[in-house]
Amino acid sequence: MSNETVRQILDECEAHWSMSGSQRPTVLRLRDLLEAELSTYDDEQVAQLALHTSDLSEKWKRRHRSFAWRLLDALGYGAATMALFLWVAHIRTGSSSLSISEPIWALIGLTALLAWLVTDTRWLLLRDREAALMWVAWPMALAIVVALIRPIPSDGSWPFAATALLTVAAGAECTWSLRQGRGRIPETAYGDHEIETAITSILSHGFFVGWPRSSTLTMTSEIRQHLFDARADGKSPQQVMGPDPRSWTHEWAAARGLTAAWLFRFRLVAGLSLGAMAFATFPLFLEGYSEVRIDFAIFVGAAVAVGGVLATGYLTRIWTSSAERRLHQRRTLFAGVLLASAVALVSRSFLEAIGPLSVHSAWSLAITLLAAALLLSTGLSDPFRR
Amino acid sequence: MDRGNQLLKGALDMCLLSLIAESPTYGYEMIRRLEERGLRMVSEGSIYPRLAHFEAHGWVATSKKVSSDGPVRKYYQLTASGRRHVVGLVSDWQEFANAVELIVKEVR
Repeated sequence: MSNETVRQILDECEAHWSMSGSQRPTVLRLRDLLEAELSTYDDEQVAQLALHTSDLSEKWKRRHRSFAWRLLDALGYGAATMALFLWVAHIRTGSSSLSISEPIWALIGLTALLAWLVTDTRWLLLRDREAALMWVAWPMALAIVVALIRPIPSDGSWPFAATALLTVAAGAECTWSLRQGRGRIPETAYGDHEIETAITSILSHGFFVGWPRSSTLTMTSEIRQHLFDARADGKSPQQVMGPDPRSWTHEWAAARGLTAAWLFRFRLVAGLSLGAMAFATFPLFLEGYSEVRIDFAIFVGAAVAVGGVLATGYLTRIWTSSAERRLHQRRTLFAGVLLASAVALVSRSFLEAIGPLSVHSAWSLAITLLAAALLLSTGLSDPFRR
Repeated sequence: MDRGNQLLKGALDMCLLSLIAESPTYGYEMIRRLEERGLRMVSEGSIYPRLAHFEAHGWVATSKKVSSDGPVRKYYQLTASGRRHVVGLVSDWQEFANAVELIVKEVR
């Protein structure tokens, strides 16, 4: 019994940490530390802890997670991404077009190195290779592409905009999990192994599709309880879930209104792009307007995206507490501003072909940095997509 | 069976809340009790999202209890607002069922 209960505790705590905004490296570190701690407990102590997983996860997070640690982690990741972007841009355009000094280069590099050495990023790289690949490779690939296809202006706004875009891409955390355990459940036998095979299959499928990690873990925790009860009643997992647990899981996910990562990203980007473009181009056709402030277009685009996501979110989502709802709203706002900033700046060349534009650099920079900092420090994770 | 599923859609919440009103219970137990009373068409995956919905609306409270058969079980218990809600649902259902009965009685 103890092993199942330990797995249940770990899954529920992981769901709670993901839901409360912890980034993937942090969640992995907390889980590993808790697993090590639980291995020293006897069955009775484990059973008692299983009754209070919410309290346990909160206390465990507080014990092992400080604000300074999170900030350093966020800075390190942002710095690493930005350094790569600037490095590619430097190779392509030459140092004369970049308005960034040598000391800042050094600072970026040192921050990234320090963060990698002492914070949770290292945990991710060692513990979860696939997640690490997505965490590192996805923004890095985007950085290279963006730097290669665009000349870098010297006004300083491009690197920040690109960093923001890349951060969002990474933060959406589309885990590229392999479809492990996809095999069908054996026809006849049932027991712990079959239950865990089914659970593994559901978990890997949920991560592959891109459902929020916390919801997938909550679901598997419920299913695990259910399958053990069914087994005590003489039913195999196959009898409960049918031959393919993934289909069964889809019913559950549909009833819960879960959104796959790609759909979520598409909805946000489409909303803010349309909003920003519409606002930026419309005034140019009116008499008396000779230019459009990109900053305003950014905000309109963000409003459209945020409104769209919130509207669909309120219609389909289930929040188990008002705190979850508030968290969802904050994340939506941050990400909307951030995404809108990045897309509006990226679409600048298109807008320039239509009419004269102006960019208030200080505002663009401040908004993008603020949004990036907030997003990096809190993470664009599960609450945003539920 | 499909016809049964269609009919059940509008009544599942009421049935689940009524079962919880009888005594605090957990997911699998609810399926079993529904089956015992003739509702065999309830999909086992469909009740947990409904239970999460009840919890989100404050109609049920949850607590955990140790089980001898496996992991810890989550028990659902009706709250005062849940009781008011299910009373309203049952009242609406009776009104609806009476009206339908008046319409179909000649066919029988």
